[in-house]
Amino acid sequence: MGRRSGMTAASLAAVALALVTGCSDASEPATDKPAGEKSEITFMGWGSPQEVEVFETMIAQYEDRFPDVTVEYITVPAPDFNTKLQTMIGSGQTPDVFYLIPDYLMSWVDAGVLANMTDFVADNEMFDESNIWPAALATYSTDGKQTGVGDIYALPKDVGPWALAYNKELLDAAGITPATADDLWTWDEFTAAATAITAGEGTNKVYGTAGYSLESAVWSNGADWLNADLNKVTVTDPAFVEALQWVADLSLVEGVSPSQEEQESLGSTQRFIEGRIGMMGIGPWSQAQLWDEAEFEWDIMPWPVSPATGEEAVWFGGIGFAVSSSSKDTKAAMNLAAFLSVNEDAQRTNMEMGQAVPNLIDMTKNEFLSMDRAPANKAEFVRILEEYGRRPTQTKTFNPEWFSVFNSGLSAVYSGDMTAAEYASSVEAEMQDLLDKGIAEQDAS
Amino acid sequence: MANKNTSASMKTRERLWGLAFITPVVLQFLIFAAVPLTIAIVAAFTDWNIVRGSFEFVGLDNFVGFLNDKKFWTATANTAFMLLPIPFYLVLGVLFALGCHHNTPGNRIFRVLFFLPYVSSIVAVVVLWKWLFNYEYGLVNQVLMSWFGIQGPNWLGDPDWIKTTIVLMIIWKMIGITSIYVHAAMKNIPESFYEAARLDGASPVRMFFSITLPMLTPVLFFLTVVGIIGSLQTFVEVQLFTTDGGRNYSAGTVTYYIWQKAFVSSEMGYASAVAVMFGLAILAVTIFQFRMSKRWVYEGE
Amino acid sequence: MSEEPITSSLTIERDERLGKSWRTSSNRRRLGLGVAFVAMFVASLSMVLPFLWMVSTSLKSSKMVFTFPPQWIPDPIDWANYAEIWSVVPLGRGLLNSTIVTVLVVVIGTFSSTMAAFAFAKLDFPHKPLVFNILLASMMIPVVVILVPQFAIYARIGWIDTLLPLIVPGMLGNVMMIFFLRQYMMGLPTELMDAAKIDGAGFLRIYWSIFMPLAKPAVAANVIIVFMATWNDYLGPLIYTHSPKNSTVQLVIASLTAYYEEQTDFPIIMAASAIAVLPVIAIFVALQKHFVNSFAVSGIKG
Repeated sequence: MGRRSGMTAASLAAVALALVTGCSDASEPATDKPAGEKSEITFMGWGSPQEVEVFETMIAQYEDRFPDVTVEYITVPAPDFNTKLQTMIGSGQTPDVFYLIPDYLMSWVDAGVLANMTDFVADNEMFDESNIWPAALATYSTDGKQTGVGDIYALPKDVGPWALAYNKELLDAAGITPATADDLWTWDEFTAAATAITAGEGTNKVYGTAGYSLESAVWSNGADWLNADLNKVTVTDPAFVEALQWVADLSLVEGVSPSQEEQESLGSTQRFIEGRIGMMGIGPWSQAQLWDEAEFEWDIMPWPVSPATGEEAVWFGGIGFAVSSSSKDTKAAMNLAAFLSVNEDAQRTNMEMGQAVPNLIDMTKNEFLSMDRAPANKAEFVRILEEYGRRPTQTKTFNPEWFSVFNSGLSAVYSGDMTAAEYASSVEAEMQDLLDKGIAEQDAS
Repeated sequence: MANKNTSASMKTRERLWGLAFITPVVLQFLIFAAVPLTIAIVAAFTDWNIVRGSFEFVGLDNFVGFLNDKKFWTATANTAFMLLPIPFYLVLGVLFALGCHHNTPGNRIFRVLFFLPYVSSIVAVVVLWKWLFNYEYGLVNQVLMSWFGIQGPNWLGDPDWIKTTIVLMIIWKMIGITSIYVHAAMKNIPESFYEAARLDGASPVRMFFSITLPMLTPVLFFLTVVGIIGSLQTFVEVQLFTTDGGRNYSAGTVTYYIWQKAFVSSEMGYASAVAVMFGLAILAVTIFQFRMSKRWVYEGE
Repeated sequence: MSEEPITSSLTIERDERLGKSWRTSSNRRRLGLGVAFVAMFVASLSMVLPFLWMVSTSLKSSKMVFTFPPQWIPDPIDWANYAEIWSVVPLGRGLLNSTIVTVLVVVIGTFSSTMAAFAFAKLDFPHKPLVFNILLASMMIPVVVILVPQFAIYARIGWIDTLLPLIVPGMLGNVMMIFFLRQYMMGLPTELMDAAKIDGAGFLRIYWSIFMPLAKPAVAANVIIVFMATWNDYLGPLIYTHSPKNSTVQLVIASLTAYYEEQTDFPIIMAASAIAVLPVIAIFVALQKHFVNSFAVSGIKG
C-alpha cells in the first residue's frame, strides 16, 4: 500500500508538473496572417455606455477600411480590468489589442507581453509621428531603464488633461468670477470661493468643491512623491505634507468638500451632475456625460496655485492601446491600435461625441478648439497639455506598487483619523521598500 | 451447481457495476481535486508567475514572505472574525426550528420566507445589502435617523464597521437553512421521550435542555464543522463588498489575500504557499473538532 | 367497600390537580405559541423586507432614490429599468449561459450522484470503504488551495473562457450530495434489491426502477440544492470566463454593479438583481415541500 500510494503520488506530481511547465511560456513568436484570409482580432477595454458606443462606431469604421479583419470587442469594468487582463495573459489568451495603464508600462515590457511598435510608428500609412502630442508618445516609451524615451510600446488612446470644471450658475449666484490664465487663484482664494458656494443642509447641501487633485496641490507646492532620480520616497517632505493636509482640510476644517463617507455614498461626478458641487476636476471623457445629463451651464478654469510658489501644475493621464507580443495577426492589431489612436475620422468621432481631446495636434488646434459646445474655455485643456501638465510620478517607475500602498491608507488623512504628517511618516518605509523591490526587479532583467 | 455459478457471477457483476457507478465521482476527484492539490503543493515552493512565465524553485521564500507580511496577519485576524456568525445563526436557527416544530400558526409560510436569503445569489444579496446600508441614502440609516434620531455609522466604508456588516449579512442568510436541518433532526426525536418527561412533570424549558438539545448535538456538530470550514474561507462577500479588501484591509480575509496574490498580482507560487498552509490549518481545526466531539456529541441511544 | 371512598377521593384529588394543570398548561401553551408567532413574524419580516425594498427601488427612476423619507411604493411606478437592462449589459446572454450550465449540471450530475450513492449504499465492491473515506476527506480540501492549479490546468487545455470548467466537474457528481443520498438510501430496504436480483434484474435496472423512485424526496432535495448552488455560483465564472458572451447571469450583475455604482444608479442594479434572483426563488417555492420532507425522512444526523 505504501509503495502503491508512493507511486501514485509520484505520477500525479509528474502529470502536474508537465501541465504547469507547459503553460508557463507566455509568449509565442508573433505571426502575420497571409493576405486574403479573414482574420479575427480581439480588443479589450472598459468604459461608460457612451464611451463603449463611441468605440463601436470607430471599430465599424476600422472594419470598413480593412475588410478582411473582424474585431471582437470585449468590455470589462475598469476596477477588474487589470486582474482580468493578467488572467487572460496567463491562460494564453491575451487580447490582440488592449488598454494599457501607463503605470505598468515598464514591468509589462519587461515581462515580454507587449509588442514593440517603434518601427510601425516610424513607417506606416496612417499617421505622422510629429502630429501626435509628444507627451502622449513619451508616456508609452521606455528603454528599459526609464520611461519617456526609447522604444514605443503603445499608442495613446487619449491624453486626458485633468481640468478644473465649475458650475457657472453656482459661481454666479455666489458672486464669484472664475480664475483665468492671467489671473490665477491662490489656494486661499480658492478656499474663499468654495466657502461662498457651500450652502444648504442634508439632501440640498451644495459643496464648493470635491476631490481636489492631490497631484496639483503637491506639485504646485514644489513637492513630489519621489525624488528626481525616482529612487527615494519623499512624502515626508514638509511641502508635501503641507499640501496633503491642505487638501484634507478642505473637508475637515473648511467644510467645503464632502466628507469621506459622503463621498462613498454618492460619487462626486454624480454629485456635480446634480448641481451640488461648485468646482471639481474632470477629464475630457466626462464631456459626453455632462452634455447628456447636466442641467446647468459649466466651464473649466485653471487650477489654483500654491501661495508658496505660484506655480501651476496638474496631471494629465491617459490610457494606451498596446498590442500583444503573441498576437496571431500583429499587422492587423497594430493597425487597429493606430486607427483607434489617430485615424482622423475616428478621432473626429471621438471628439464630437465628447470623449476626448484629439491625439492629433492639428485637429486639436483647428477643430477641437472651435467646437461650439461646453466647455467654452476648452483652450484650458490644451494649455495643460502644452504648458503646465505633468505625467503622474507612478507612471515613471517600474511598477506602481509603492504608489498603491500610499493610496490605500490615504483615507485616514481625509477622514481626520491621522494628520498628513503622521500618515506620511507611517507609510514612508513601506513605500520605500516596494520602490526598492521594483528597482531591483528592473535591474535584474 | 448452477446456483453457485450464478451467485459468483452475480457477485462479480455487482462488483463491476459498483465500480462503474462510482467512476464519475472518482474521476472528478482525481482530475479536479487530486491533481490540482499536487500542483499546489509543488507550486508553493516556486516563484510561479503566469504573466512573466517563471517557474523556478525558491525553497521556502514564499513561506517566509507571507509570514512576514503585515497584510497576511491582518487577514488572519479578519478571518477569525468571520467565525462570529456561527453561534448566532445556530442559536437563532434552533429557536426558529422550535417554533416550526410546535406548529406555530403560519409556520409554513414563515419557512419559505426564512429561506429567501439563502436561496438568492450572493451577488444580488451583497448588492442589495450595499444599497440598504448606504451611508446617506440606505434604508437602515434613514430609519435610524427618522425613528431614533441616531446617525448610523458608515457601515460600508468605516474599517471598524465593514466586518460587522458582512457578519450581519451572513447571519441573516444562514438562519433559514440552519433551521431546516435542525427542524428535520427535531422531527426524529422520539415523541416517547417527551411524553415520559411530561408525566414526570418537567417544564417545557427543562425538556428542551434535557432532551431536545442533547439529541440535537449530532446535527449541531455537523453544522458547526461545515460552518467553520465555510466561514474560514469567506471570499466572495469581501470581493463584492469592498475594493481591495476595504480601507486598511479591514475586511480582507485569508482567501481574499490568496486570490489577490494569485489573480491580481499573478504571483501564483506565493499564493499556493499561503493556500497550502491555510488548508493544513483548516484540516487541523477540523480534526480537533472531531476529537472534541466525543465530549459533547450524543451518539446512539 | 372501604376502598371506594379512598379511591374516589384520591381520584377526585388527582383529577382536580390534572384539571388545574391542564388549564394552566393550555394557557401557557397559547401564550407560548403567541409569543412564538410574533417572534417568527418579526423575524420573517426581516428576511423578506430587504427583497421588497429591492423591488421597490427597481421601480424608481435613478434620481428618485435620493429622497427622504424613503418611499416604499414609488410614485410613479417606473418599469423602465427592467426594459433598459437588457440593452445595457448582456443580461439575456447571461441568463442563457446560466441556464445551460445549470441544466446540464443538475440533470447529468444527479445521475452521477445518485448512481454513486446507490453503489455506496447497497452494492459491494472492492475498496469501497477506502474510496468512501477518501471522498470524505476531499470535502475538506479548501477550495482556495485548488483554485489556482485548476485554473492552470484549464488554461493548458484551452477551457478558459468557455463554459466547460463550470459544467464538466459538476456533471461528475457532487460529493456532499452523494453522502446525503447514501444516507437516505441506506434507510431503504435491501430486500427489494434481493427480490429483484432473484427475478434476474440487472443492477442498472434495480437502480433506476426501484431505488430512484423510492428516493424521490432526497433526489428532489438534491436537485434543488445543486440547482441553487450552480445558478448562484459566482467564483467559478469570475475566474474561468472573460468575455461577456460567456458570462453567467451572476457575472453580468456584478459587472453592472461595478459600473453603475460609480454612477450610484441603484434602481437599475436592483432591477437586474431581481431578475437574477427570481428563477431560484420560483423553483424553491415550487419544490420546497419536497425539500423539507426529504431532510426529515433521511434522518440527517451528520
